[in-house]
Amino acid sequence: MVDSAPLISLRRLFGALVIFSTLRFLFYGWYDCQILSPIITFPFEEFSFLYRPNHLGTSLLFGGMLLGGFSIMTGRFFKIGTALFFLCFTYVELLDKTNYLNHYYFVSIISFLFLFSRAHKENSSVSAIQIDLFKCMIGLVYFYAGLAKLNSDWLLEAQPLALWLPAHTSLPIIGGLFKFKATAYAFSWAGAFFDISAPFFLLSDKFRKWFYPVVVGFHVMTWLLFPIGVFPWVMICCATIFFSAEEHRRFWALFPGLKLPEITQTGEKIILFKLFAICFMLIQMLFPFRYLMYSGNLFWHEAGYRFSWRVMLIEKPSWATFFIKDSTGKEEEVNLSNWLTVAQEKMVSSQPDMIVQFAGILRDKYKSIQDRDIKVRAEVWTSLNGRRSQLLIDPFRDLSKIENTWAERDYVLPIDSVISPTEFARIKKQLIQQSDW
Amino acid sequence: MSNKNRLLILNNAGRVFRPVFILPILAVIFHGCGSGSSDNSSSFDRSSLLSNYCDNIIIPGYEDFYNKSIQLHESVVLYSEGTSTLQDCREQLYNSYLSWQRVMPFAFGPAYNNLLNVSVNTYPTDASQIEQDILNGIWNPPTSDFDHFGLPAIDYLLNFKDQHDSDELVRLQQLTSHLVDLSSEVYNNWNDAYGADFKSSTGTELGSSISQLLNSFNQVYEQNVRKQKLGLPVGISGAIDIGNSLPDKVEAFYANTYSIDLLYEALLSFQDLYNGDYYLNEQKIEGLGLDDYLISLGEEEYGSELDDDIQNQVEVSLAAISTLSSPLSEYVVSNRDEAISVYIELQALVVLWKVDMMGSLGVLVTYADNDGD
Repeated sequence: MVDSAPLISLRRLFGALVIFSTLRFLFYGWYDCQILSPIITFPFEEFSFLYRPNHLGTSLLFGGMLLGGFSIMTGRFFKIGTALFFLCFTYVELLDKTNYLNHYYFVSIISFLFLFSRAHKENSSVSAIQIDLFKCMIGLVYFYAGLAKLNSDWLLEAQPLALWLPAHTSLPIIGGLFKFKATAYAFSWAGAFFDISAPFFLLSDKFRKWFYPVVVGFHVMTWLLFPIGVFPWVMICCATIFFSAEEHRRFWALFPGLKLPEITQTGEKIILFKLFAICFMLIQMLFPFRYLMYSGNLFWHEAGYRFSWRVMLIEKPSWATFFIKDSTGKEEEVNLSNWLTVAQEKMVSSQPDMIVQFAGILRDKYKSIQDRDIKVRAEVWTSLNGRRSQLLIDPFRDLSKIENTWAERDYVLPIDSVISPTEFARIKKQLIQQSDW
Repeated sequence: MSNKNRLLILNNAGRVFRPVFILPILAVIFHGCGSGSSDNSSSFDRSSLLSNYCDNIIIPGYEDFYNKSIQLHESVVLYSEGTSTLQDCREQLYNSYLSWQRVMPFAFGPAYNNLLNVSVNTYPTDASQIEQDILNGIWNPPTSDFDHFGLPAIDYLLNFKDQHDSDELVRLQQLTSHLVDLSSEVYNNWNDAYGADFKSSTGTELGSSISQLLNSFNQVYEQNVRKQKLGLPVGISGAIDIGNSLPDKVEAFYANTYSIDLLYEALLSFQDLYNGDYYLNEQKIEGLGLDDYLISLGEEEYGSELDDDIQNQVEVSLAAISTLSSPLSEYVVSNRDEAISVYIELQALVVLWKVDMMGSLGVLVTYADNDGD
């Protein structure tokens, strides 16, 4: 049994942050533009049974998040509050792939782990593995984010930072550096090194003290340069778990009302917790490697891309045109703004599984609204990390017949199958006649 | 052979993606070699680019459109007084239409605030509503229904009829005077504060000048050139139940003779805009443009190679437009397939500008209301 101080710190900071994050979400009105007003949504296939909430349901979900966040922060009604937060937050996250963010996934995981911990008994010791589980999880996020950067785009081409950094030449002091490609290389390599080494430096009693300011500096820098919301602050708070219990006690002693109570009780062993921790971490370690099941360029087909700590790796401007055809044989173009929000259009245009999902939604809507059986195809031009645009998917494949599964995405064209828009335009008619379309 | 394979064999030159796990040293060498060469800093002078656009293209463009609007209005006034001919009015309308193509791409800032683009050129125009307006005789500037105002409404009044009664002449003058008011407002805005603001915002973040300009450039080309001027008339894109030509959707439908001229002029306007070129005393002068921006990225696939492709495709598209024969409203019916192949060339330019060029410049244009990660 060990001093629970690091765990209690994490609980308090995390609770405060999720309250802040929820209020920020409400303040920007995102519950309206992400949940209520879209005409259609793109749920994760495995969770498509979840009801899309109406106005009341949305209010309840966000009320639940706030209440749960409060419960996490204070430790009162901890188990039920954490469960409430985890369920409400994850529910909202699963409603639409468009809004998927790695840090939402991270928040879900941390609140899930709190469910099994004794982070609410401030005067009680806990078994060491309770704290170590959080250290493992947070360390894994850094390490895997670093591994994901070890690819030729990031290291050899400094992409996508070479595209993004020149946008910040007006930043004071360091802004002038961003016009040099060497800066993009330096940032790419430093970023990869930072992510991979962060867990080890944070674990080391010798290096932690001077490495933590680097953590803060790194995350503040990303906050300045990229629109990534509260993610930097979440990581800055979570990385404190690596500090010793004494250091945590000294920190809270600075605030008289928040001082941690002395340990007076010996914690109880949670039955099977060790087994749970090992299983959970094994899944976390293996799941991001599912991309190895698929051939081709991961950033291009994006099969196995999500839920794997791949952050800030791709710039993928894309332009998709969807075509439908019914039994009369006449082809029509789909007006995307009739169906999709701006954010959805951006995601649907560049992510193959969402292209297929949209085709399926169109098929069902045309059937139920107009009683027409339609086929759907899409011409999708995509540029990945500064490459020239290419067709992302087979432009003559009837997408309405495809179901999203975990199988290889054979409707995605290989990234090295370059055909220029002009070449395509010239041979399109001939290709269409030869296809089943 | 399947279509997929056909696409594969066409070319095989894409940059291949290699996962690297143990090759950092190799990469250091790569990097070390690279940083010596001169094309490795994207030190493109965005400030000069914006100045060129503002001072040599946008403001002179609006000045010209303003002058053409005045000339159109004056010709209509003289015609109403009986001191000028209908033919003169029609010629002035043609000039106004041509001049409009040069400022149409700048649908942000003053143009956006004054509803300029929708007020000047929403078509097809609603003829029965125009007749209703004439009966009403009251002037209400448009706020939502724009399809009985601007150039298309004037086109209807001047070109559909050869005789005009006094009510019609009043309406004509209201419409032309509305153009004068709008164009003078936008021109003055640019000349006063907005032009200076435009030139001073040299970043590439969301809402910066270059972001607004490129966003508008792509939007207007895609929607108002490719789709409206040719796509809709040939019946390619847009609303449900298309598959036949829609000849009454052509631009300047009642004049009927110069829809193709306007399409050609619009593409020339985008070509000059892309190249940063402008005219002094009818002499073409090469200025700093998006072409130079791309070339500054080096001799890479997304640098000068991309510029070459864009230049070629613009030339190909201009040549394709030249194969259309006037009037467009008849051509899209009689030669629908040929018209569609011209449309396909215009379509290819959307890809090059909207995907490739935007993917190269790293300028944020998406107004998605969310965090990224």
